[in-house]
Amino acid sequence: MNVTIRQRLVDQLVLALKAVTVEAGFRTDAGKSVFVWNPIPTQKTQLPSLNLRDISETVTAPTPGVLWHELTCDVVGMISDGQATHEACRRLLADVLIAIHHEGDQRWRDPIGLATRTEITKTEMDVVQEERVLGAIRVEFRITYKTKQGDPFSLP
Amino acid sequence: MNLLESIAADLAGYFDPTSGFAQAAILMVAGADPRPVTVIFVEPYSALDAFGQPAASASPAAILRESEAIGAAPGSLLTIDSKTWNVVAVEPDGSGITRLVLSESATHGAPS
Repeated sequence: MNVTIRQRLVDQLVLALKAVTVEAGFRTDAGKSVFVWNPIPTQKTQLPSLNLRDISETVTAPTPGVLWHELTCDVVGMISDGQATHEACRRLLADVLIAIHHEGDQRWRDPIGLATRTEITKTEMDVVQEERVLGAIRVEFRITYKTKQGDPFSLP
Repeated sequence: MNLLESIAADLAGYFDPTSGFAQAAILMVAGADPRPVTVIFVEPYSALDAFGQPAASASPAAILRESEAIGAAPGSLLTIDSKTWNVVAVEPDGSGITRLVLSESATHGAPS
Protein backbone atom coordinates (compact mmCIF):
# COMPACT_ATOMS: atom_id res chain seq x y z
CA MET A 1 0.00 0.00 0.00
CA ASN A 2 1.39 3.40 -1.00
CA VAL A 3 -0.15 5.30 1.91
CA THR A 4 1.80 5.95 5.10
CA ILE A 5 0.39 4.85 8.44
CA ARG A 6 0.38 8.53 9.44
CA GLN A 7 -1.74 9.40 6.41
CA ARG A 8 -4.13 6.54 7.19
CA LEU A 9 -4.47 7.84 10.75
CA VAL A 10 -5.24 11.34 9.49
CA ASP A 11 -7.83 9.88 7.10
CA GLN A 12 -9.48 8.05 10.01
CA LEU A 13 -9.46 11.20 12.13
CA VAL A 14 -11.14 13.15 9.34
CA LEU A 15 -13.84 10.49 9.08
CA ALA A 16 -14.41 10.68 12.84
CA LEU A 17 -14.64 14.49 12.76
CA LYS A 18 -17.00 14.44 9.78
CA ALA A 19 -19.35 12.31 11.86
CA VAL A 20 -19.94 15.27 14.21
CA THR A 21 -23.49 16.19 13.24
CA VAL A 22 -26.63 16.86 15.24
CA GLU A 23 -28.33 14.17 13.18
CA ALA A 24 -25.77 11.65 14.48
CA GLY A 25 -26.37 12.64 18.09
CA PHE A 26 -23.70 15.28 18.57
CA ARG A 27 -24.45 18.78 19.83
CA THR A 28 -23.14 20.70 16.82
CA ASP A 29 -22.90 20.31 13.05
CA ALA A 30 -19.19 21.06 12.93
CA GLY A 31 -18.62 17.82 11.01
CA LYS A 32 -20.15 19.45 7.95
CA SER A 33 -17.18 21.80 7.72
CA VAL A 34 -13.99 19.79 8.32
CA PHE A 35 -10.61 20.91 7.02
CA VAL A 36 -7.08 19.53 7.21
CA TRP A 37 -4.36 22.16 7.55
CA ASN A 38 -6.67 24.84 6.19
CA PRO A 39 -4.43 27.79 5.22
CA ILE A 40 -7.36 30.02 4.23
CA PRO A 41 -9.13 32.18 6.82
CA THR A 42 -12.31 30.43 7.90
CA GLN A 43 -15.37 32.30 6.63
CA LYS A 44 -18.40 32.96 8.79
CA THR A 45 -20.53 30.94 6.37
CA GLN A 46 -18.35 27.90 7.21
CA LEU A 47 -19.07 27.97 10.95
CA PRO A 48 -19.09 25.82 12.94
CA SER A 49 -15.90 24.34 11.58
CA LEU A 50 -13.07 22.00 12.52
CA ASN A 51 -9.47 22.08 11.31
CA LEU A 52 -7.22 19.07 11.89
CA ARG A 53 -3.43 19.42 12.03
CA ASP A 54 -0.90 16.63 12.50
CA ILE A 55 1.79 18.84 13.96
CA SER A 56 4.80 16.88 15.10
CA GLU A 57 6.07 13.43 15.80
CA THR A 58 8.74 11.94 18.00
CA VAL A 59 10.19 8.59 17.00
CA THR A 60 12.05 6.03 19.06
CA ALA A 61 13.32 2.53 18.33
CA PRO A 62 13.26 0.58 21.59
CA THR A 63 12.82 -2.71 19.75
CA PRO A 64 15.01 -3.78 16.79
CA GLY A 65 13.15 -3.37 13.50
CA VAL A 66 10.26 -1.40 14.99
CA LEU A 67 9.77 2.36 15.25
CA TRP A 68 7.47 3.80 17.87
CA HIS A 69 5.84 7.07 16.82
CA GLU A 70 4.16 9.61 19.07
CA LEU A 71 2.17 11.84 16.76
CA THR A 72 0.92 15.11 18.22
CA CYS A 73 -2.19 16.51 16.55
CA ASP A 74 -4.73 19.17 17.30
CA VAL A 75 -8.21 20.12 16.21
CA VAL A 76 -9.13 23.81 16.17
CA GLY A 77 -12.87 24.36 16.19
CA MET A 78 -14.71 27.62 15.61
CA ILE A 79 -18.31 28.48 16.37
CA SER A 80 -20.46 31.60 16.76
CA ASP A 81 -23.68 31.90 18.71
CA GLY A 82 -23.98 35.51 19.86
CA GLN A 83 -23.81 35.99 23.61
CA ALA A 84 -24.10 32.23 24.12
CA THR A 85 -20.90 31.57 22.17
CA HIS A 86 -18.99 30.45 25.25
CA GLU A 87 -21.64 27.78 25.86
CA ALA A 88 -21.49 26.73 22.22
CA CYS A 89 -17.72 26.39 22.61
CA ARG A 90 -18.16 23.89 25.43
CA ARG A 91 -20.60 21.87 23.34
CA LEU A 92 -18.15 21.88 20.42
CA LEU A 93 -15.35 20.86 22.75
CA ALA A 94 -17.42 17.93 24.00
CA ASP A 95 -18.20 16.87 20.43
CA VAL A 96 -14.52 16.84 19.46
CA LEU A 97 -13.52 14.91 22.57
CA ILE A 98 -16.16 12.27 21.86
CA ALA A 99 -15.17 12.07 18.20
CA ILE A 100 -11.50 11.60 18.98
CA HIS A 101 -12.25 8.89 21.50
CA HIS A 102 -14.10 7.20 18.68
CA GLU A 103 -16.67 5.37 20.76
CA GLY A 104 -14.00 4.17 23.15
CA ASP A 105 -11.79 2.78 20.40
CA GLN A 106 -8.45 4.59 20.48
CA ARG A 107 -6.78 2.42 17.88
CA TRP A 108 -8.21 3.87 14.64
CA ARG A 109 -9.19 0.68 12.82
CA ASP A 110 -8.64 0.68 9.04
CA PRO A 111 -9.72 -2.16 9.15
CA ILE A 112 -7.24 -3.25 11.83
CA GLY A 113 -5.99 -1.00 14.59
CA LEU A 114 -3.40 1.43 13.27
CA ALA A 115 -2.47 2.86 16.66
CA THR A 116 -1.63 1.63 20.11
CA ARG A 117 -3.49 4.39 21.89
CA THR A 118 -4.83 7.93 21.68
CA GLU A 119 -4.53 10.38 24.56
CA ILE A 120 -6.07 13.82 24.94
CA THR A 121 -3.31 16.04 26.34
CA LYS A 122 -4.81 19.55 26.45
CA THR A 123 -7.93 21.57 25.69
CA GLU A 124 -8.18 25.32 25.26
CA MET A 125 -10.94 27.81 24.58
CA ASP A 126 -11.15 31.48 23.61
CA VAL A 127 -13.91 33.95 22.76
CA VAL A 128 -13.41 37.23 20.88
CA GLN A 129 -15.81 39.81 19.51
CA GLU A 130 -15.64 41.95 16.41
CA GLU A 131 -18.28 41.95 13.70
CA ARG A 132 -19.69 38.96 15.61
CA VAL A 133 -18.75 36.91 18.62
CA LEU A 134 -16.40 34.13 17.61
CA GLY A 135 -15.50 31.22 19.82
CA ALA A 136 -12.57 28.92 19.27
CA ILE A 137 -11.60 25.67 20.91
CA ARG A 138 -8.47 23.58 20.57
CA VAL A 139 -8.05 19.94 21.46
CA GLU A 140 -4.51 18.60 21.49
CA PHE A 141 -3.95 14.86 21.48
CA ARG A 142 -1.24 12.30 20.95
CA ILE A 143 -1.49 9.09 18.97
CA THR A 144 1.04 6.33 19.59
CA TYR A 145 1.64 3.91 16.73
CA LYS A 146 4.30 1.57 15.39
CA THR A 147 5.79 0.97 11.96
CA LYS A 148 8.50 -1.27 10.58
CA GLN A 149 11.85 0.48 10.81
CA GLY A 150 12.58 2.20 7.49
CA ASP A 151 9.09 1.51 6.23
CA PRO A 152 6.51 4.18 7.23
CA PHE A 153 3.91 2.37 5.12
CA SER A 154 3.77 -0.87 7.10
CA LEU A 155 2.74 -1.98 10.55
CA PRO A 156 5.26 -4.28 12.23
CA MET B 1 -12.73 82.35 14.09
CA ASN B 2 -11.01 80.69 17.06
CA LEU B 3 -9.53 77.20 16.96
CA LEU B 4 -12.62 75.42 18.32
CA GLU B 5 -14.84 77.17 15.80
CA SER B 6 -12.40 76.26 13.06
CA ILE B 7 -12.44 72.58 14.08
CA ALA B 8 -16.25 72.63 14.26
CA ALA B 9 -16.41 74.09 10.75
CA ASP B 10 -14.05 71.43 9.44
CA LEU B 11 -16.10 68.65 11.05
CA ALA B 12 -19.31 70.09 9.62
CA GLY B 13 -17.95 69.56 6.12
CA TYR B 14 -16.54 66.16 6.99
CA PHE B 15 -19.87 64.92 8.33
CA ASP B 16 -22.04 66.59 5.71
CA PRO B 17 -24.23 63.76 4.34
CA THR B 18 -24.56 65.51 0.99
CA SER B 19 -21.07 66.69 0.15
CA GLY B 20 -19.06 64.88 2.85
CA PHE B 21 -18.60 61.25 3.81
CA ALA B 22 -21.37 60.71 6.34
CA GLN B 23 -24.82 59.19 6.29
CA ALA B 24 -27.89 59.41 8.47
CA ALA B 25 -28.34 56.93 11.31
CA ILE B 26 -30.48 56.48 14.41
CA LEU B 27 -28.80 56.18 17.80
CA MET B 28 -30.75 54.46 20.58
CA VAL B 29 -29.37 55.14 24.03
CA ALA B 30 -30.81 53.59 27.18
CA GLY B 31 -33.38 55.82 28.85
CA ALA B 32 -33.77 58.22 25.94
CA ASP B 33 -35.76 58.46 22.73
CA PRO B 34 -34.02 57.34 19.53
CA ARG B 35 -32.33 60.31 17.88
CA PRO B 36 -30.93 61.00 14.43
CA VAL B 37 -27.18 61.28 14.13
CA THR B 38 -24.77 61.57 11.24
CA VAL B 39 -22.06 58.93 11.05
CA ILE B 40 -19.31 57.67 8.82
CA PHE B 41 -19.64 53.91 8.71
CA VAL B 42 -16.58 51.76 8.12
CA GLU B 43 -16.27 47.99 8.07
CA PRO B 44 -12.68 47.01 7.26
CA TYR B 45 -11.72 43.38 6.85
CA SER B 46 -9.78 41.81 9.67
CA ALA B 47 -8.42 38.34 10.31
CA LEU B 48 -8.76 36.90 13.78
CA ASP B 49 -6.30 34.31 15.01
CA ALA B 50 -7.80 31.24 16.65
CA PHE B 51 -4.94 29.11 17.95
CA GLY B 52 -3.00 29.67 14.74
CA GLN B 53 -6.01 29.22 12.46
CA PRO B 54 -7.11 32.48 10.79
CA ALA B 55 -10.78 33.45 10.73
CA ALA B 56 -12.17 36.10 8.41
CA SER B 57 -13.85 38.91 10.26
CA ALA B 58 -14.58 42.62 10.02
CA SER B 59 -14.27 45.54 12.40
CA PRO B 60 -17.39 47.65 11.88
CA ALA B 61 -17.43 51.08 13.44
CA ALA B 62 -19.29 54.35 13.21
CA ILE B 63 -17.47 57.65 13.49
CA LEU B 64 -19.47 60.67 14.62
CA ARG B 65 -19.12 64.01 16.32
CA GLU B 66 -18.58 63.69 20.05
CA SER B 67 -21.51 66.06 20.63
CA GLU B 68 -23.81 63.57 18.89
CA ALA B 69 -22.42 60.59 20.78
CA ILE B 70 -23.42 61.84 24.21
CA GLY B 71 -24.89 59.01 26.26
CA ALA B 72 -23.71 56.29 23.89
CA ALA B 73 -22.43 53.28 25.81
CA PRO B 74 -22.02 49.53 25.39
CA GLY B 75 -25.55 48.26 24.92
CA SER B 76 -26.69 51.23 22.82
CA LEU B 77 -28.04 50.48 19.36
CA LEU B 78 -27.25 52.18 16.07
CA THR B 79 -29.36 51.71 12.96
CA ILE B 80 -27.66 52.39 9.63
CA ASP B 81 -29.27 51.55 6.29
CA SER B 82 -32.02 49.56 8.07
CA LYS B 83 -29.48 47.37 9.87
CA THR B 84 -29.27 47.67 13.63
CA TRP B 85 -25.85 47.27 15.23
CA ASN B 86 -24.92 46.81 18.86
CA VAL B 87 -22.51 49.35 20.29
CA VAL B 88 -19.85 47.35 22.14
CA ALA B 89 -17.38 50.15 22.87
CA VAL B 90 -17.23 53.94 22.76
CA GLU B 91 -13.88 55.50 21.87
CA PRO B 92 -13.65 59.32 22.00
CA ASP B 93 -10.40 60.52 20.43
CA GLY B 94 -10.24 63.79 22.36
CA SER B 95 -10.47 65.98 19.27
CA GLY B 96 -14.26 66.08 18.99
CA ILE B 97 -14.73 62.78 17.20
CA THR B 98 -15.99 59.54 18.73
CA ARG B 99 -15.72 56.05 17.31
CA LEU B 100 -18.47 53.58 18.16
CA VAL B 101 -17.27 50.00 17.87
CA LEU B 102 -20.13 47.92 16.47
CA SER B 103 -21.07 44.26 16.43
CA GLU B 104 -23.93 42.15 15.14
CA SER B 105 -24.15 40.60 18.62
CA ALA B 106 -24.78 42.30 21.91
CA THR B 107 -21.61 42.72 23.88
CA HIS B 108 -20.24 39.39 25.00
CA GLY B 109 -18.76 41.02 28.05
CA ALA B 110 -22.14 42.00 29.51
CA PRO B 111 -22.77 40.82 33.07
CA SER B 112 -24.45 37.40 33.11
